[in-house]
Amino acid sequence: MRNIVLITSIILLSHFCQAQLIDNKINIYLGYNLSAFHGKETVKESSFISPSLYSNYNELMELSFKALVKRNKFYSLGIGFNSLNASGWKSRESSLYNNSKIIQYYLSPIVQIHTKFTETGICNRIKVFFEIAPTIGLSELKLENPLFDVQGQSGTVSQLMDSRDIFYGIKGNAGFELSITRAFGIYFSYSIQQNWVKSKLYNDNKFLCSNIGLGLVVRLEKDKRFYY
Amino acid sequence: MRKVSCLLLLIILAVSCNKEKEFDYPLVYTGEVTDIKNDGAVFSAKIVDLSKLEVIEYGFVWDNKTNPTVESSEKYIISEPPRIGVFNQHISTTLKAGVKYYVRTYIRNSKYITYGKEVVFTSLGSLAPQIIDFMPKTGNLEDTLTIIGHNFSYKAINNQVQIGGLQTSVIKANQDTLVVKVPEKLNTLSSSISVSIQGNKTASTDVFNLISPVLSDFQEKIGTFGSQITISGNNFLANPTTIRVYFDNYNARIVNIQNQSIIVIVPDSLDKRQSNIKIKMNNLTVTSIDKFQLAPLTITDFTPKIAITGSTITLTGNNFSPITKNNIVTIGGIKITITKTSLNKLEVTLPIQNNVIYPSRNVPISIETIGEIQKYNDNLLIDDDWFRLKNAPTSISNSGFGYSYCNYFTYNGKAYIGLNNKTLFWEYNPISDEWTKLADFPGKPRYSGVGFVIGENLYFGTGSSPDPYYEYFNDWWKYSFVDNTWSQLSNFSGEKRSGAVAFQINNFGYLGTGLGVGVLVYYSNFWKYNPSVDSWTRIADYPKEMSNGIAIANSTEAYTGLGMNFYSCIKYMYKYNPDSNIWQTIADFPYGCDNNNPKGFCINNKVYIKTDHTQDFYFYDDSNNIWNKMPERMISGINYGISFSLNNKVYVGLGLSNSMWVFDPSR
Repeated sequence: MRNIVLITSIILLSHFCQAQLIDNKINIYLGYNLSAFHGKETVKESSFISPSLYSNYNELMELSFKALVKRNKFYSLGIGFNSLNASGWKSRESSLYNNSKIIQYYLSPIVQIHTKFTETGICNRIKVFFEIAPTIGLSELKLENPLFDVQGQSGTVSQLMDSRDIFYGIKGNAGFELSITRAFGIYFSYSIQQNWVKSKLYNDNKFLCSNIGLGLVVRLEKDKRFYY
Repeated sequence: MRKVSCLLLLIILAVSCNKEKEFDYPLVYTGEVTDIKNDGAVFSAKIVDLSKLEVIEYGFVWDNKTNPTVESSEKYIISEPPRIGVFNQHISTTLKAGVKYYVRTYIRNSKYITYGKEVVFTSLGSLAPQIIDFMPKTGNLEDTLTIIGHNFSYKAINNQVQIGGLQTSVIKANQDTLVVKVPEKLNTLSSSISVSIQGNKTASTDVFNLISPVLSDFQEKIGTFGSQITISGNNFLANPTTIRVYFDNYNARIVNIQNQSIIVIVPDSLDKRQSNIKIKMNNLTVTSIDKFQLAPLTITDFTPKIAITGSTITLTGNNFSPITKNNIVTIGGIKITITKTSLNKLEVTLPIQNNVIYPSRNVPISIETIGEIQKYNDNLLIDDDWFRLKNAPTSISNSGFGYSYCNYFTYNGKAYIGLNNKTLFWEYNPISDEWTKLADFPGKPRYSGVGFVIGENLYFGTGSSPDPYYEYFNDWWKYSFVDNTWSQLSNFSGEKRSGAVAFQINNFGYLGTGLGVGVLVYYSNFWKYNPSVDSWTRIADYPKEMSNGIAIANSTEAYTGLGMNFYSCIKYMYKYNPDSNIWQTIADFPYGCDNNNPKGFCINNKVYIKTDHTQDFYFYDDSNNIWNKMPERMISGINYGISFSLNNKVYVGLGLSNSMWVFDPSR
């Protein structure tokens, strides 16, 4: 109840408050995302069926950093950096990747389309945006159990237990910012990311990830204006 | 903006310029088993790295226990060269319905073998393997046969291969080739081949043929043991190690084998006059149409012609069997033990007379070899001093005493024996060696009665019977040899007695000594019997009280002694002259003791006596008053027996057995 009152008050304040924010040029976004991999439990390649790696992870957490520069009233350009941790792999048909973990880092040059900043009204406080960004990153898999049984002439051989693989993708993001003060605000976003990857330790060649993000906006380099 | 783009490009380059890792071992994943039906299942896999080293082999392994391996589990090897990517194979054999299988893919190079993780599935069954062909189509036992087809099991033991219904061993196996051995027990000319895996069986359309021997003829048709026979035919060299040649059922030694002829030796063990020749090869047997005939048996000679029992006789001839048991030698109808055997000679040991009874001293010799009998023209002469006669009838025996204590008399060339506590009385004819039962003694059975023969009659009486209590007799009886009848005469005039002695000289009988009623009552009185008036007259007493002695008379005198009295070791002997009615002492007998059981005979007017304590008879040399041992060695075992002379021959016997023996001093 309290939360509802609080949010309503903020919106009303922003609508009715005649306190003016000055638009800024550079925004820094720091956020926390709840992520999920999507897809089937198994990977199928003609008659070959094996358990999927990514879509069977159940515990995902992502931290994101983004810096955008406003180019004009409607779009900004920038770069983003994300770090994702995935664990809790579980499949009904297999235990192949049990107890494995993934850490991903990726960069994405971002093009953001957003609403125009106004000196008054709701758009002085709230900005709705859409982003599109290619992604490139590194997916690091750490296995708990070996995937193969390798036997050499002198007995069992030590196995490959981790893998670092490049992935490429494209990400779409939509959300809104809410300015609290001239320097800070919060943002809320939802993104979907499709990546392609190739690894020797798993048979997935792509993965789909969705994120719900919540973060802090730091506003820098404001437009100089006369104050009156 | 430009700076941002450059920075981004640098990061991308830094991250992507990463040398792909190379492995020494290949990497392969096992996919899930799909398309599971009653005709098999599809196994899948994906190779993600082939490694630096060349791949030797790759495929699938499966088993009904975890972690199947190439060494011990079912296997399928993919024949196409390996490449990165997915491969699969429909497995249509070796899977049993209802069984849970563990499957792994594998890939092997010269240093490593990589297995993918196993997957599990429950089979719904599979198909039988397929036989396309096999070679060779013709062969021998234990030859190697290669079967070509599909879907065999890599595990040799899972391929149940039968040839002609017989299980065979699989030497090598892979999915399309089986190498097996023709079973050594196969014995049919043509056989089909079947392969069964997990109960799914398939059979060949062609048949496998064993090579059979061919037997056309053989020479010689008649031969003997150890002779060479040449057999002609074919295929003998196809499998010479299995060739066996038989005469009937007897293995013949093979001297030489050519493909179309075999030379063999007639086996010594052959025991039929006519036999088929058989050749067996590869368990297949062919039989000759003609029969082989053993050459006839001949006897050419034997030595010595005169032999004593226990000695060796050598028989020579032709075509004896080298196997002892196939020859039967009979001498006088008695089967003789052969001690040495060869094709042309037999040695036998003439059995001693204690063990056999020869029909006569002159005995024929015959040999039977495998059903053919030959007799030699000459007879063998048995030269033992004593010759065994037929056994006396067993009814002579007296329970508890065997054939002991018989009375014995001679008349007209025959002997009369019996009356040893029995009424049985027998006549023995030495000419025919036959025993004839005579009229039973009508008096009470008794031991140690005595008598004598005068004219055509036997006079007999006295003695004692233990049944039911000790009873002594003085009854007197006459037996007519002519009528075979008994009649009772007047009693003996002396006291009742047992174990007296009696003799006859000049048609008068003499009876005296003996054991009387009471305790240790021995008599010395002697009586003379006149048969014409059936009366007794007392004569001079015997110098000693005595019982169970002996009295042997020649034509003029009687020799008595060797009985029992109070004293032991009685050896004294007396000679009685009826004319002088005097008992004259003569040389003691060489041996004497209690229970002398003396027995004796008179031959050529000489008296011979033996006791149970001497091995031999001793004869009395009247001139020198000395007892001399009879030179001819006595047989043993006639203690408590009898001895008498007839027709200048000596007869002994009975006692411990019913054997009878004769000695002819004139031989």
